[in-house]
Amino acid sequence: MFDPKIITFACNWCSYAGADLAGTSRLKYPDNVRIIRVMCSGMVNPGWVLRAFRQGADGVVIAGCHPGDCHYTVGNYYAKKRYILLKELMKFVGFDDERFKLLWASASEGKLFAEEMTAFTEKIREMGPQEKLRRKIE
Amino acid sequence: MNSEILEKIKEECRKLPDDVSYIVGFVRKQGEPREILRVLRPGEIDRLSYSPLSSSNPSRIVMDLAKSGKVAVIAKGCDVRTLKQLEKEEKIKRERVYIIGVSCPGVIDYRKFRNAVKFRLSEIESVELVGDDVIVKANGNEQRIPFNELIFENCLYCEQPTPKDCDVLIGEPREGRTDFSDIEEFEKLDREERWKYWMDVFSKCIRCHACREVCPICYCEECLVDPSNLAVSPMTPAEEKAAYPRVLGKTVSASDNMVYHLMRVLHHAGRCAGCGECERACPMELPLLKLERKLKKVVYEVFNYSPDEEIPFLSKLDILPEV
Amino acid sequence: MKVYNGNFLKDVVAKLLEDGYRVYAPVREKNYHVFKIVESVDEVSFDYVNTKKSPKDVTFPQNEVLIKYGDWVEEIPARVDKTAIVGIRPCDIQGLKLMDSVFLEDITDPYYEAKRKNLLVVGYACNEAGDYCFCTSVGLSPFRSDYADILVTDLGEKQVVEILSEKGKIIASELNLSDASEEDISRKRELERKVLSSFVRSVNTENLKERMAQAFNSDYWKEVAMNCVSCGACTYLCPTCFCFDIFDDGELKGVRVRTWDSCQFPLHTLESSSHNPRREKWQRLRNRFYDKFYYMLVRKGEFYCVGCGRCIAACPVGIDIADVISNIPSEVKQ
Repeated sequence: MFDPKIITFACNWCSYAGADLAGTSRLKYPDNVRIIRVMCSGMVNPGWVLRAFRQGADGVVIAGCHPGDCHYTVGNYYAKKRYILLKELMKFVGFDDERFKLLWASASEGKLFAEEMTAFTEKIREMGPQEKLRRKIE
Repeated sequence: MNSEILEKIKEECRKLPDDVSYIVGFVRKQGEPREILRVLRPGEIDRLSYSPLSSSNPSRIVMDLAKSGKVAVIAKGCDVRTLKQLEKEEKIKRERVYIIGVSCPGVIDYRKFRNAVKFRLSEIESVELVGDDVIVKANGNEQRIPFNELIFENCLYCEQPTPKDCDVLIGEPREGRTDFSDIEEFEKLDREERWKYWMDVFSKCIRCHACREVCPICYCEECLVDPSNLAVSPMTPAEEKAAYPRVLGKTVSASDNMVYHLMRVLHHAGRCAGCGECERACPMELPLLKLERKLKKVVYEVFNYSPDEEIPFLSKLDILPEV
Repeated sequence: MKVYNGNFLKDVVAKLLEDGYRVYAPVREKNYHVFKIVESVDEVSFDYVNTKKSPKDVTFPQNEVLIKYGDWVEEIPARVDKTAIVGIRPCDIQGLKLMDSVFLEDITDPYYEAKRKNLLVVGYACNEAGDYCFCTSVGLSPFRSDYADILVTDLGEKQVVEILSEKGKIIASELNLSDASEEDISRKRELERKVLSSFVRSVNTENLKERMAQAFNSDYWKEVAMNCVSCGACTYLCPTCFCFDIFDDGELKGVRVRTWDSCQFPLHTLESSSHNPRREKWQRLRNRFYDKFYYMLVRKGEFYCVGCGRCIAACPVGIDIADVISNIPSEVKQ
């Protein structure tokens, strides 16, 4: 069975704490999800997303605070803007843009985090491995 | 017609304010009808030239030169748009630039020109736009080619042929238009066809970085994709140098080239003026403007942003759509 | 000298493919030609003046994997398939010869050697000079080549075939060649005369060594480099430029790759102490001209430029190597 690799950039104040809560509440979600903690979802550079796909990630998630709740006031707005631009461009060039997701999860939403990650992993599992942007010279 | 424009340009250059130290304009290259940018002094006005092949964007040179003195520049609509964008980003002070605007009917695509003209490039004496035709003169002979067969394709979708903010304007004002029909046409293809098209395009890219170097708004010295100027000093420790974030190395393959171009274009969201320097500079003739224009379409339609606004696109946060 | 009734180039491609060679031949891509590995004769197209990119990636590819690493290190041996390149112009053949003098003479590069040893070169003489060509100024001829295995000249309905090596003889014997008649030889000579008179560009190479030696510190280079954007297009299309970079792609698991680099990129000469001897644009630009027209001239007695003109056509800001070299000031005040 194909085991997808999902990279999640989770912001320190909300979504990472949410993931932590899922852990302490013993809510299971697949271990295909590898979480990278960033200070704010607005810190995520679209280059990192493309790099993750290049290194072989099958899905990438940017998780941040709900709009209005960002610890840095407007960081998640930048994240959403960049997400929209990158997603539109991915659609335009014919990449499977469903592999790229943006998630708002607060520090108290452990259950939501676990459910969303499980659903996303299953979706990527069905889609199969990501070959389009994976590095070819190896 | 370009001899008239040239005369007017020279006339304006003779009337420049006294504090102008440099003029950035076009000079005809020796041996072919290309027009290349040159930095001239106010005493060298007779070297100036102008023709429908004067396509280069002088903003990059103006940005560097304006630090040392006041610059007069001969600029078309797209060039002034770029200057305004650079001014918005605080790279140029408007008082340091004296803009001689030229209302532009479009420029000639040099590649189409070389295929259509029957003379050898070194024989050509002049290229003039008269009415709807381009008249090429060489050795006493003449060739008439309809302008719409030679026009640079991007110019058909020009939004601002006449510079909006300039100190003097030469030529009659023209209407621009916002038209993304070529992008919409392309989006009708299905996903696999689009992927195949772009893979085919990017398999030709040789990652020479000409597109990035000629672009006036790609002015970052440390580019994430391939740093062109790494800020290291003798004190920088080895671990830091080794761990410098790199998205890509120099490996060249169709998917890596795609990552390079997507990264580059994403940083131009809301900033690209559509001057076409990237597509003209590319030695492998890639259709780079398609990506830039798609992003422009997203910025206009999804975000409702117009480049005439005072605030840069990436700073504007009150316009987030529900997507 | 022999002739072939028909299109020798196309038929030799078919024959080589049959014999199991990897064949590089010019393919038309929308507006220009490039050399590519072909699978069938239908892909090739020989109606071109010269290809957009030089064919140097036959022996010096843009990416070359040297080792793979991960749990253990695996060295990738250099490929040794028999390869042929058909339709290469005399200037580019000279490019191959000049690259040989770099990669095979003082030191032997095993990757380059493996590809070059097994390479069959079928050259194609030029029927017209391009708008940017100046091979005659650097001592070459569009009609002759000493390093091809076979040289073909197109006379229209037939092609003149000169067999210049043993390797060439073997493959040519598989095709039906007849001896060239007096008329064929005189037609070829006439064509050569016509081509030689069709050059529009030239480089003044008189006293070049002396002029360049004393112009090294001149401000002339700063003026020439004013427009340069350090893009690297000239070096990547050049048939003789060979600068490369070796780096590791991948942290714990990956490959060590050798790729093309350009002396025009600002970081090319950055040393690990952070000193950069060619930090300024004009220093890098000057280096390119000296590499092509001085250093090799002093060391090995020949120009390192073949006069193909690709750099002139590709330069986005109009820097013209022929003009720059011809206009080097002969009297320079230090």
